[in-house]
Amino acid sequence: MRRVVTSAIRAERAFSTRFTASLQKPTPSTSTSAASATPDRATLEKGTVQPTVLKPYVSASLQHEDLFNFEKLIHVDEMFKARLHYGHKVGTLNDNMKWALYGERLGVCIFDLDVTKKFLVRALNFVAHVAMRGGMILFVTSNRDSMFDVEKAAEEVGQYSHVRKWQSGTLTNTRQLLGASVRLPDAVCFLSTLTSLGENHPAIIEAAKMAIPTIGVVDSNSDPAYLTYLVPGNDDTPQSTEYLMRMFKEAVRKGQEERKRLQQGK
Amino acid sequence: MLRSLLNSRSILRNFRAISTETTVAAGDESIIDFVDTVTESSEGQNQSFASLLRNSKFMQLGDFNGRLVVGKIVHRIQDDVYIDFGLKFNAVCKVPAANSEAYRSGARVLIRLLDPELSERFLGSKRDLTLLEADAVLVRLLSNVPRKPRQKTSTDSAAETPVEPTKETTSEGTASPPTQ
Repeated sequence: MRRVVTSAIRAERAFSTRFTASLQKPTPSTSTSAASATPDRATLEKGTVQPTVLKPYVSASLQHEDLFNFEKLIHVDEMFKARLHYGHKVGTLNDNMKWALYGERLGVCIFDLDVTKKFLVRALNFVAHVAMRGGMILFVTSNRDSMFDVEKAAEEVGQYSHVRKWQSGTLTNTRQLLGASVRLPDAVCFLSTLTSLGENHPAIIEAAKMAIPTIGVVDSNSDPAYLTYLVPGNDDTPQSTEYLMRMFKEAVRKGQEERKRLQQGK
Repeated sequence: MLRSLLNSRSILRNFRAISTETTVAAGDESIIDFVDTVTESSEGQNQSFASLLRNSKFMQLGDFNGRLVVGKIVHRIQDDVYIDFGLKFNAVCKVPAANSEAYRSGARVLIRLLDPELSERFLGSKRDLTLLEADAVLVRLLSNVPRKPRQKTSTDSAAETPVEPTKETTSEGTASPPTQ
């Protein structure tokens, strides 16, 4: 087991220096030890409880924290200019969002953009990975101010959006609603997780039921439950939504370019 | 009777003095510079979030209540204007009856900020209910809609024909978006 881990770490190091070379052979750890390609029964059983023990067995491109180098792309001052740090008033604060706050200024919550950056990098990395594997991403918002921008931005990168009223069962009951079996999105990205009435967006629960990973921009009054990847930040101002959409678009583009390159390489 | 009249007149005079003072204060350019675009901060890529926040206009603003802030009209629906002044929410104000044509989207206005977010806790609820808008009072117009429309309005004022200019501006308003 230890040997497996060390070989994986070695592979990851080689990977971080030039990931394009190692991407073409998806499992470099197989070359070092044939036994590590598939986990044994005991490890699989352990993996049902603690999924991290299976990490050495997944492909090397997934081992990397920030494969597409989003750390360099995201600047705190840009996020600051996009007003991503403004939260709601403290009275509306959800207790589960306290971890992302820097503090409170005269009754107004302020997000810590260093935390936001860390989480945004993680979310963008996931989006790019989904796009790299030809995944379908659905952008969802219920914010009236930014709905057209989100629709347009999603269309620009060939992805999908849902910005109108959410009909219950759109994800869970497709057979009844659409009359045919349809492909569900591979990831759902919420640009705002609350409806205009201050309730949780119904699509969050539906995506969780269908085991679709979700990315959610959560404000200080949102509920982060059932979301896979969180991006703490302002979700009400059009400028901040525009900035986040620009970043998500960039992530999708990077993933698609990587996909194209991989297909041409083969 | 006469004395009371005199008193009222003096009060009126005082009122006038106050109103002129406020307009003078509002016209003071230094104040406008100070509160112009609350998000604007000193440039610097490598600044940490803490220093960015510390040097931001948001912090310099101090207590929000009663601050004069410059905003930009981003939207107008009949007599309501939505004013973006650099915080999380837009302020929604009624357009004054006089010169209401000038309050179009793109115009800069001076507002007196009352509350950055209207939120209130209702009886029995654990958390505040928010209206998702800021509370402010419209003070006055600072500048008209920038660039093209403004040039046209200046030529219009030179021509000084009361009916035609409005027609011209509307026709140009429709014509201008393709060029932009």
